[in-house]
Amino acid sequence: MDKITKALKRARLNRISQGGSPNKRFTHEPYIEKLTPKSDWSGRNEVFAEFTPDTLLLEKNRILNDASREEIVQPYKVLRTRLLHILNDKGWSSVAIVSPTKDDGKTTVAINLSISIGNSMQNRAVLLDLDMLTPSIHSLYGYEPVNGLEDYYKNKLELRDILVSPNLDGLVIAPSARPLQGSSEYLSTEKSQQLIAEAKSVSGNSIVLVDLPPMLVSDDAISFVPYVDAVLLVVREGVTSKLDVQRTLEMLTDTNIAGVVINDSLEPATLGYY
Amino acid sequence: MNSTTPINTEFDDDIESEKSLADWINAIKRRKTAVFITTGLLILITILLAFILPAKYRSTATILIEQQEIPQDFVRSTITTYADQRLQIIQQRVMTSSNLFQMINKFNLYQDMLEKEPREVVLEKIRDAISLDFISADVIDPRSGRPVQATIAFNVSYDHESPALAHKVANEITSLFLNENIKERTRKAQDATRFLEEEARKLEQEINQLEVNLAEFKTGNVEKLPELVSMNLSLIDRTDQEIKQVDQQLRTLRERKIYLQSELAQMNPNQALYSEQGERLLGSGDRLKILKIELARLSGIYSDTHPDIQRINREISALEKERGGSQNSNNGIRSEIVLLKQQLSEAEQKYSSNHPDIKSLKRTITSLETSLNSRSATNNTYPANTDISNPAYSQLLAQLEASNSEYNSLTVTRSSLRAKIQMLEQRLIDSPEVERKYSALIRNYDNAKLKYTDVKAKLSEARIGESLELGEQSEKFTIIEPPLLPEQPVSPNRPAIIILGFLLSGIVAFGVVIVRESLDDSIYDRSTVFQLTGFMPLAVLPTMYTIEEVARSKKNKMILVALFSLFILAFLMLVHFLYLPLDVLFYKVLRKI
Repeated sequence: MDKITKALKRARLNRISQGGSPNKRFTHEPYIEKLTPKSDWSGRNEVFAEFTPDTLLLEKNRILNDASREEIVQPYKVLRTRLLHILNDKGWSSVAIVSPTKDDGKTTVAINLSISIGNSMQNRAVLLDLDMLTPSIHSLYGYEPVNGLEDYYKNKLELRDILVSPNLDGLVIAPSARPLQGSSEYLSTEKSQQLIAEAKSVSGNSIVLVDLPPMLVSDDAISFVPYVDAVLLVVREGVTSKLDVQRTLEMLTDTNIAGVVINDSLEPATLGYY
Repeated sequence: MNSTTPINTEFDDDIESEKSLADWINAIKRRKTAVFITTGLLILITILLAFILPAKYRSTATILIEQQEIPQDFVRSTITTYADQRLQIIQQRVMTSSNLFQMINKFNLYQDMLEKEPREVVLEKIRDAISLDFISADVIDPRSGRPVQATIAFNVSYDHESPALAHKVANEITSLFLNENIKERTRKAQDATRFLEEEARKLEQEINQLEVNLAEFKTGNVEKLPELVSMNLSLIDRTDQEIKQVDQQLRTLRERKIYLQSELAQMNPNQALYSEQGERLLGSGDRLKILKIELARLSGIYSDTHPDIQRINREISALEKERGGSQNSNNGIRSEIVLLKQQLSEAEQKYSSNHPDIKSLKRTITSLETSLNSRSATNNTYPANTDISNPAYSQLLAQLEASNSEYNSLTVTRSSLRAKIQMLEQRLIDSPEVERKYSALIRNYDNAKLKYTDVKAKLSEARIGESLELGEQSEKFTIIEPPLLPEQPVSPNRPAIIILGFLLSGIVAFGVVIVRESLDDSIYDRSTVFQLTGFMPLAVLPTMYTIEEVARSKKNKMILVALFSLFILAFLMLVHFLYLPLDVLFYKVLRKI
């Protein structure tokens, strides 16, 4: 027993000395070697507008923060790792977070997932709030943005003028400051493609996460989905109905689905994946 | 896993229905509000029910069914139904509406109910409150010899909210049962006796009628009765003998007659008379014959006026006068007829049949013949006694006459005997038919008599049985446990109700969970997601409780605990003050354990 523990300890120490993460479980996965270590944002020394969110507010809005308990953080880490694994495997880097209906917790999942990715060693996250009917990422952060992606679509501003960093090294957010009339028309334009490309180019290993309106509420999501590499479907336990999931899947027949996430589950974390 | 197209978007009910324990626990967790509400509500209701339900007291009497004291072999009761069957009958008689209403009025039962509800409902209530339990034992049925369950006793109970009333009414019902049993048994025994009496009377009448019929038949067919057959036969025999005797006598008589007649024929009725000179004197008949012959000779010689002829004529007429009417004897007539017939045949040769001579001859012959016939019919062919002078002749004649009369009387006797035999034979012929009728009558009579004696025997037994019932010596009800004033309520079983309430609330809550789960179309687990999308979920993100929520739920838990302890306290207080003091209850429970 002791020998095994010691051996494991030694192995971990070795890994850390080689520049790996001590928490990384998928040590045997090949992509770790391919990843370049996290560097400055694109090496361009760009500085984004920063704000420091209120931890209490984040806690209240169920957003991961320094005070978050391990049983909440852990599942997001699992999600992040598995998603990154898939993205790396497929060579994808942009993911739209979609859900069938309104209160599925899609925005919360998007923010927390981006935080979790931002906390990872290899990747940075660019979170785009394209739920332009009811933009809410900034309000969850308790931040009042001056500019938003609506300005980008209206060709008023560049993406980098909109990006803000919530006092987290690996994460930048492009909020939508105000609701945009005719958002679906804007979203289906070439501008979207450009936006994704720009967002990808913000950093070397950046993963672009897009928060979209519910699939079954408007056509915004359907309009935008062709521009991302894949979608992540969020369903909320006890809220999302099977029928809605089916209908959503029917809409996404031509789209890559990176995976499905069950949100707001009562399932104890210990009964989870391990 | 990370295929780009969904594999399976269809529901699979089979997989879905296989829920693991963890799934169920999660389901209950999801529905905890509903579970709490239903269980709480139900428990509250049952506890309230347990305490609100009024206590019911039961007063019970145990009545023993005592067997007949005098052995069945000595005196048999006329009541043959089984005790429990009879009990059912008695119960029906006791539970009549009128009886129950009498009781209701007597004890002022269910007064508040009577004002609101129809009478039937009240009656139903009191019927429900009265209960009858049979206490059985395994016994050998003396009638069939088979082991059976026999009712040896029964309990009569009455439930009521008031122990005093329960006691009184139970007493009343018990006495009703006892009285009804006696009445029932007596009535049945009397019924049996009355029935048998009636039967006996009918049979008596029938026998009387049959006796009358029999007597009438006997008198009507007295000689033809079968028991007289032998007598009739012997009578026939005897009569036959008699006839034979008579025949014998008749034969003898006939022979004797023939003999006498022949004797007579040889004898002259008139004794030959001899004159003093020894000359034989002719009898008037001979003299007449001689004279007639003389006359015939002389008439050939002389005319009629010849004195000789005239003298002879005178002599003849004098002789004939002497012989009287009968002198003109048959012999003379016969010879005259013969003469006339000769003349007739001669004349017929000469003349036709229409000739006046022939006609006159014929007339004369017929008149002579008729006179001869009439004469022979009235008179004997023999001469009258008067002119019989020969004593031997008259003696023979007398003998002949006696024989004749005897013969005649014997003939009469014989014919009467013949008739008698005929009659007797007729009787014998009739006898079988009479016998048939007679035996039918006798049979009926015997049957009736047999039945009558049977019924009489039964009647006497029934009378004894009746006196057995009247003297209460037969099977009877004895109270071995009179109804007591109940001290403890028999219902409701409050702890049981509460325990049941807890169980029920659990079951109902689970039912609610099941129903809500089945009605819910939402996604709850990984397998559903897999079925729908073809992907196992990348992650299952738990509900994120904010610090505030955690604090609030802690507070709620504390409130809940406080409420629950308050509730327990209230419950204990209720138990203490309403049911049993807790210390008493504690020792009671301790004792039971």
